[in-house]
Amino acid sequence: MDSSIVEKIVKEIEGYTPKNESEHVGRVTAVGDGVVAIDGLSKAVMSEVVIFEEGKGKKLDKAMEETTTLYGLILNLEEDGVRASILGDTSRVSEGMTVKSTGKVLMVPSGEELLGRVVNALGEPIDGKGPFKNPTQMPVERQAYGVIDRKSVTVPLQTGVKAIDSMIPIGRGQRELIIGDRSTGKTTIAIDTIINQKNEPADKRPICIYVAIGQKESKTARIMQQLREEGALEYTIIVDAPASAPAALQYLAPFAGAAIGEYFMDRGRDVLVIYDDLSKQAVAYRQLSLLLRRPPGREAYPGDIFYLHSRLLERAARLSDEKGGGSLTALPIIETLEGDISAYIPTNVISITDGQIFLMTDLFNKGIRPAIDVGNSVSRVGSAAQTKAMKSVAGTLKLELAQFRELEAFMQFAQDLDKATADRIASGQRMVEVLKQKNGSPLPLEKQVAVLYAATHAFYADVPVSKVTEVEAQFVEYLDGQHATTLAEIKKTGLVSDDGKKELNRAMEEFKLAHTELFAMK
Amino acid sequence: MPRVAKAFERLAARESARNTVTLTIADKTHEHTAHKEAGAILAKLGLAESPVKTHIDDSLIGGWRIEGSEHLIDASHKKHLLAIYNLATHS
Repeated sequence: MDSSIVEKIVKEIEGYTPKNESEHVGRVTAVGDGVVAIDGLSKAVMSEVVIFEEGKGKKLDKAMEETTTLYGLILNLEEDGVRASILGDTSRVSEGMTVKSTGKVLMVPSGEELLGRVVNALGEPIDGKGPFKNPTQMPVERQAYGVIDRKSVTVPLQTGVKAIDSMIPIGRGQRELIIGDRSTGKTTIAIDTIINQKNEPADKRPICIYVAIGQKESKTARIMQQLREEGALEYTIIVDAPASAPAALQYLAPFAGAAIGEYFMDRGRDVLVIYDDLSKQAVAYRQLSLLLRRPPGREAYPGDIFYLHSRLLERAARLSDEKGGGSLTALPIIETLEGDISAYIPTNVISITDGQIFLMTDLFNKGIRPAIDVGNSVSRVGSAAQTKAMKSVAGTLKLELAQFRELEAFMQFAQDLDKATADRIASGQRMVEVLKQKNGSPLPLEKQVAVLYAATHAFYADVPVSKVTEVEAQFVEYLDGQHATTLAEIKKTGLVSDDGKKELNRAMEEFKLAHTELFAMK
Repeated sequence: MPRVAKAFERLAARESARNTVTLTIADKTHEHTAHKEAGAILAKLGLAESPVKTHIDDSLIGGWRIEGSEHLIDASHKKHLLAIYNLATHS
C-alpha cells in the first residue's frame, strides 16, 4: 500500500475522538411511492432533512459499500409521527428502519466551481467530473428579499431574440413567463437567451442556471451539448431532475436552482434562472401531496400550489446597492394544453410573473418562428429596462403588428383593398419576416437595432416577402464588415445618435445600390 | 368491537415499542460492561426506569448501542470504524 495512504489512515485514527452522543431518531412504519411514515421524531421541524440508517444489522464490509447516504425531507408533521419524502431510491428504505434527525433544513452546494457543471436537485454532481472541493451551502427554502432590499428593474437582459428584445423586453430581476403548447419553441427561446449572454462583457454577463424538471435525459444532454458547442456552458449550471427522478426531486429542483443562483446574487452578480418547466413541477408536487394525504383541491392540486410557485418566483429580485446590486431573473416555462392559458396552473403563474411570452402552435406551423403571439404577450416591467436605441427603433412595432394581424383577415379580398390598407399589409408581412429567427442564432443588440431601424424605414419595401430573411442576413453581414464602427457605437452607448442614423441610412443606400437585384420587384 | 380492540392493541404495541429501550451488544461477554455504561447514559436522559431489552448483533464487532424513546446512542466499534473509514476516504 502507498505509504501516503497509510500515513493518512494513521492520521485519521490518531485524530479521531469517539463521540457517544444521543441522536434524535424515529422508525419507519410505512413506505411506498417515495413517501415514508415515520413514528417518533417528535422534535422534528418542517423541511428538516433526515438520514435513513441503512447500515443497521449489516456487516462492516457491507456497510462500507454504501457510498451514498440516503436522505429524506420532512413534509408533514402529524400527531403520532412525521411523513417524509425519500430523496433517492425508495427501494433502499424498509419498514422498521431507523431514521436520524439532522436538525438542518435542506441545503445545496453553490459557488464558482459549479459553473459548467451538471448537478441533480440536491446539488450533487452528475456529470462524472468529480465532487466539488469547497462549495458554499445555500438553503433550498429561503425567505425572499423584502421591499427595502430591492430596487427597480432598469437593466435589460438581452435575449438575442428580435421579437422579444424589441416588443417584450426583459429586465434583470424580472420574472417573465414563457408559455405555450408542446413543441412551440419554449425551451429554444430559453436556450437562445443563455447563448446570447456570451455577447455581454464578461464582468456584466449573467450566470445562467438551467433547471430541467421532468424532462427526458436525452433532451437535457442535447441542451448541454449545444451550450458546450456555443461556448455557453462555462457560465452555465444545469440542474437536472429528469422524468425518471423521484417526484420529490422534481419538486425540489427549481428551489435548488434558485438557491444556487442566490449565492451569486448575494455577491453582486446577475443571474438568469430558467425553470423548464413548472407545469411538471406542479404535477410532481400534486403526486407528493396526494401521497402525503393532503386534501386535494382543483384538478387534484393541493391548496398550496399557488404558494409553491409564488414563493419560488418571489426569489427573483434586483437587489439594492446596499445589498450588492445583484439580480436574479427568472424565466419560468409553462406548458399549456391546446393553447388553454386559462387553466389552473397557467393562470396562477401568469398572475405571479411580471409578464408572459405566449407561443402559438398555429404561428409555429405557419413557419413564424419564434411563434410569439404579440397580442397576448406582455412585459410589465421590462420597458423601463429597454435600451434607448431599441426604444427608438421599436417604439411602434407592437402596435403596427397588432394592426397587421387585424388586417390580415382581409388579405383574401386583396383586390378590394385601398392602397393604404394594402401598404400596411405589405409592410406587416415584411415585418413578420424580419422578426423571424432561426433557433440557436441569437442576434446581439446592435445588430437587432440596425435590422429593425432598416425595417421601420421601409428598407424591405421593394424586397419580395419570401426574400426578406435572406436580404436581412446579407445586410447584417454587410454592416458587420463595412459599418462595424457604427454597430460598436450603438453597443457602447445604447443609443442611435443622429450621426448613427445617418450612417445607417448611408449603409442602407449603399447596400441597395450594391444589390439591386434583391430590390428589383415588389 | 373486534376492530376497536385491534386498534387498541396496535396503539399499545406502538406505545410499548416507543418506551422500550433496546440495548444491542456484539456478544454476551460484554453484557455487564455495556449495561453499566448504557445505564449511566440512560439515567442522564431520564430513561433509567424504562424497560431494557437486550439484543445481540455480532455485526457491531464490539461496544454497544441503545435505542428507544426517540434516542439513539451508538457506541459500537462498527460505527467508529465506519466513521474513520469515511473520514479517510471522503476527505
